[in-house]
Amino acid sequence: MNGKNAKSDRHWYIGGALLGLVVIFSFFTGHPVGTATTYERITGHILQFFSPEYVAGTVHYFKEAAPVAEWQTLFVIGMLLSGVIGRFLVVKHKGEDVPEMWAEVFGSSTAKRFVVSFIGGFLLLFGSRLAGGCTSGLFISGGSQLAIAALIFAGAMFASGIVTAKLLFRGRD
Amino acid sequence: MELVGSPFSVLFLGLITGIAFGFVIFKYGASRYENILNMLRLKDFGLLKFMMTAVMVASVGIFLMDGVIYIAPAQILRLAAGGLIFGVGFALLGACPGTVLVSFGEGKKDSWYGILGGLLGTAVYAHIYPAMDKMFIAPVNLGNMTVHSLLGVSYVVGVIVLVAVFGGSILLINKLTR
Repeated sequence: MNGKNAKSDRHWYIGGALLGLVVIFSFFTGHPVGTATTYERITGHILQFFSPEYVAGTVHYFKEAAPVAEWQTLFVIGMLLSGVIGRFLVVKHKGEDVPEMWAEVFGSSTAKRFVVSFIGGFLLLFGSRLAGGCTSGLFISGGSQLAIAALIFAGAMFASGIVTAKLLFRGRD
Repeated sequence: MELVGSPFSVLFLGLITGIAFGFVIFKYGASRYENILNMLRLKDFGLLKFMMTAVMVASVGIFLMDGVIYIAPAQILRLAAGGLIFGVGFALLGACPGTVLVSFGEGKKDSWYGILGGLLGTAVYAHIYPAMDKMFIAPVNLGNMTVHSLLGVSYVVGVIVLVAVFGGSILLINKLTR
């Protein structure tokens, strides 16, 4: 795995074009790519195990995502498997638990990184549910179908993302 | 409530599409913390070019095969509020809901906590959904608005505009960062 600035632009254009082709294949088979809804389905299944009454009484699980395994559930499992394939067949080592760039500023404490990751994941999926999609579903699938929603979402997410990243790494530019 | 809601062939298709999508993301470094954070720090726009190229290519392909499936409604408040919250999480975790799955597969332990946080985030959202609906979703809905419906042009012109704007943005970024 090479690091920071070694990647040429061509690398990104080829990768982007390949990703675009996968998206075209996905639409060709009748499914827009997307991941965020599956988090809700998994949450629904977990909660249903403990309290079916609670899930049955929570309108959102039925309105926007009934907890049922379908195309996207397997798409999500496939994405996870792609990381496993990359780890064992391509790079042949485990990914780092604390990113190097993070550790340079915040130290190599796993506890600190894990707490921030948890909060980050919470906001990411809460925001995703509120917006109605994520980078793949709203921006890539939506943008590829020329949806204005994709552009509004992308504008908002980059605005707060840039501010947060600048604050995290302030004084380092 | 049934656990499996689709036939095997559809599930299999989902699996191979997910592997392909995830593998491109892995292979080209789109799931790497450094690449995501350096984009948000405005230091390296490679990943932005990657995403914009993907959308340009896919928009042409979907147009050519007349493959539009669903246009998300332009519910401006929810998109703006959700996007703003999403962006903070994006920078803190250094991943989006899809790439964190690839990282999980790669064995990066911080992604476990990101996913756990994500599951809690969806649970909290589902719990307070009626209030969110009232505040952010119901008030403003401009319908299934697209680039071409907004501009009042045909679909093909919409695709040309999108490709021109995204392509032009990439050229501009290249000029400014050279």
